[in-house]
Amino acid sequence: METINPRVQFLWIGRAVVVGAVIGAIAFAVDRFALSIGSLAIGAVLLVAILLGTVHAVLLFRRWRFEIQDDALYLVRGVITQVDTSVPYVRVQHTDTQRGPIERLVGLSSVVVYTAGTRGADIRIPGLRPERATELREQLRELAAESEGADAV
Amino acid sequence: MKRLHPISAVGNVLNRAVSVGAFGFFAGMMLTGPLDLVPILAVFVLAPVGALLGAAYGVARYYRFTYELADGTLSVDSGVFDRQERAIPLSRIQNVDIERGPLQRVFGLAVVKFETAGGSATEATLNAVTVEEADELQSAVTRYRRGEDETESKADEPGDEDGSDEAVGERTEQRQPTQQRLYELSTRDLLTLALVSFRPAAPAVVLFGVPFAQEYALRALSETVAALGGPATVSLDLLPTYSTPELLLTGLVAAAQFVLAAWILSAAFTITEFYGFQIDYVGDDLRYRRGLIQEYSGSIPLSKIQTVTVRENALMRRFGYAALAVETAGYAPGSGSQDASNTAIPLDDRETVLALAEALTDAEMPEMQELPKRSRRRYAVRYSLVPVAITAVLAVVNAAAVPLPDGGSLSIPFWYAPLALVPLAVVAGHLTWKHRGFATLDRLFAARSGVLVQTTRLVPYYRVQTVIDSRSVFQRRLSLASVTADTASTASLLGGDATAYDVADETARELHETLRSRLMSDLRARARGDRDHALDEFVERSTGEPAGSAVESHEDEPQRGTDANEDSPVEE
Repeated sequence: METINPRVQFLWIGRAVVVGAVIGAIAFAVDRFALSIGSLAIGAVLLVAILLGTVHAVLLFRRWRFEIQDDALYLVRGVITQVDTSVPYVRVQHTDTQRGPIERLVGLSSVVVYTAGTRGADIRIPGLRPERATELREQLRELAAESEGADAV
Repeated sequence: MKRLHPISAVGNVLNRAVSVGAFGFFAGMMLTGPLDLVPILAVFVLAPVGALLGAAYGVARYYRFTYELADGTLSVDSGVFDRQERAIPLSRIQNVDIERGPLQRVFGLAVVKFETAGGSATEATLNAVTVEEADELQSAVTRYRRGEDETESKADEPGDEDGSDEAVGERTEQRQPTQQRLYELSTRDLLTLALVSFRPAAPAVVLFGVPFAQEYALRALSETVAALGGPATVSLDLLPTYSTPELLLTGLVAAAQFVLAAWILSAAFTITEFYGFQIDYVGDDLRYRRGLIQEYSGSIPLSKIQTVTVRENALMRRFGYAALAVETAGYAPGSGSQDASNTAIPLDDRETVLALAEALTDAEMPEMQELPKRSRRRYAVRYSLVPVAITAVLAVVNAAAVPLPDGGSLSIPFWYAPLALVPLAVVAGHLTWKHRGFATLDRLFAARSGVLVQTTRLVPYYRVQTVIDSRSVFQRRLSLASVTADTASTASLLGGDATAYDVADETARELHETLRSRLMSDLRARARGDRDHALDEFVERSTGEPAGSAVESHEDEPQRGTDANEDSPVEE
């Protein structure tokens, strides 16, 4: 099974830092205006948030796998809740590659696969090199077009 | 291109005139009053000017709204400033719904709503056209779809663009496809449905309506309480003077009256919504019709049905009743009540419901596979956590002895009381476990869950979209997993997935594989003819008439008028 690019961990750690900063800001506000917690506590909160986020990012990267199988795209991911998803090619409506600004900074891209389902309406594969992403998108598009079945809904 | 009916234009114009005029009025009041920018006369200018502008906009909107059904496409052009031209291929239209409120019924009009699988809102709404035009539009969509399906099932011939008639001409088609009554809701079942259904709107209305009828509510309360031996009059001022038993009595009576009022109101809502419910099998569609004051009717294409759901709440189960809903892709149409317009059978005895479910899915209702026992443990623990957590919090707060402003410290007597709920939680866990199950059948996947409302979802394999397994930390410890067969049906928005919860890990992997492989094999092998036979059999069985003949309506069925020539006004 294919893994995603290790650089994606930086992306996720970056997000964790942002979330940590927000939590730290909230703790700071609480300290200022409500209960007094002390700057030590705020620092601790910040540190714990960032630490947890980093651990989560690393574990998530380790778990992330996908595979182009005969009849479906198969994905395995998740830290706290592990989710295995099969997306049959015959159900793929269309595919996108997407690059957010932070993703661009890290030099990565995502592929998004759309189906007519409700829970699995859009399935995202993050952390791909742009060339691989384009390649994968085209591959999925072709597989979808070739697959049998009259109606994708 | 056609326009909407002028009468609806009048309604819209008046509407806009009033709203913009009111805005002008308030703007004027703001400007002259608090802000004091212009003299009072401004109000008398701004309000009428606003009304005129609103009216003009309304008229413009009317003239700019045109639609046309031709060349296999529904085209709708609308908008005054923001022009929109929408083209919907007829083959993509899922449901066609027709709504007629009391006003529309008086004028012989109807509101037509077209749904597609994409997007979460109605794609096109025609408000309003004549009833005949509405029926014609609905039939046209059905006919086109039949014609399209005809050409598709023939060997790769491209369909004619400008008429399904040519393609359809090969079969002996009459202009109107055959119509067979599939199901009618009897008066008895309607009343039963009214009694066992719960409409969330009802308690809300009672709650918010009480201030308006406060005098009557208090009087009713007082008389009942006095009759039961309580205080002679009940009023908010006198409350502190009551003794504890009197307070208790008053409280109980008030609660009982509230529940009764909400129940009666809920029953009334149900009756007005499902009065005259009937489903016909027309061509390849299910056509439903219901409603007392507001009339709803619509078509559900059989070929677009994603899942079939059997729903039985605790009360229904006790008496052997059930309800059936069919879900298509696209936004669930109809009024606010959930699934009302996707209801195939609102209430009937379980056998009838199951028979139709089987006919629609061409499969037999399964015996569900049980979940492993360790799942039951999991639910019992999960539910018990709540009272235990509350107890823990109370214990901590009690022990902390937070000092209170008036001296002394905060202590919570009976902080361990919530623990009494734990046995209840264990029972709830057992019930949850007992009511969950799944089955893999010849043609479909079935998943059941729910205690208060037991829901059984039937998903034909060829309707499966993606297959999703999930394992939380706790599930991983117990080697359990949940498997979801995602479909394009909208009920999933309401948490209505077809999911096999907390099954053994190996079972989950097998199930995942089965769903995937059956999806592919069933798609390949799908023969449309089977479905029609199953429904024909159902019609024969339930009416005793061979399929294809018209069904006589029963004597006690409410008479339906299809146009506005009703002499007797509808009763409230």
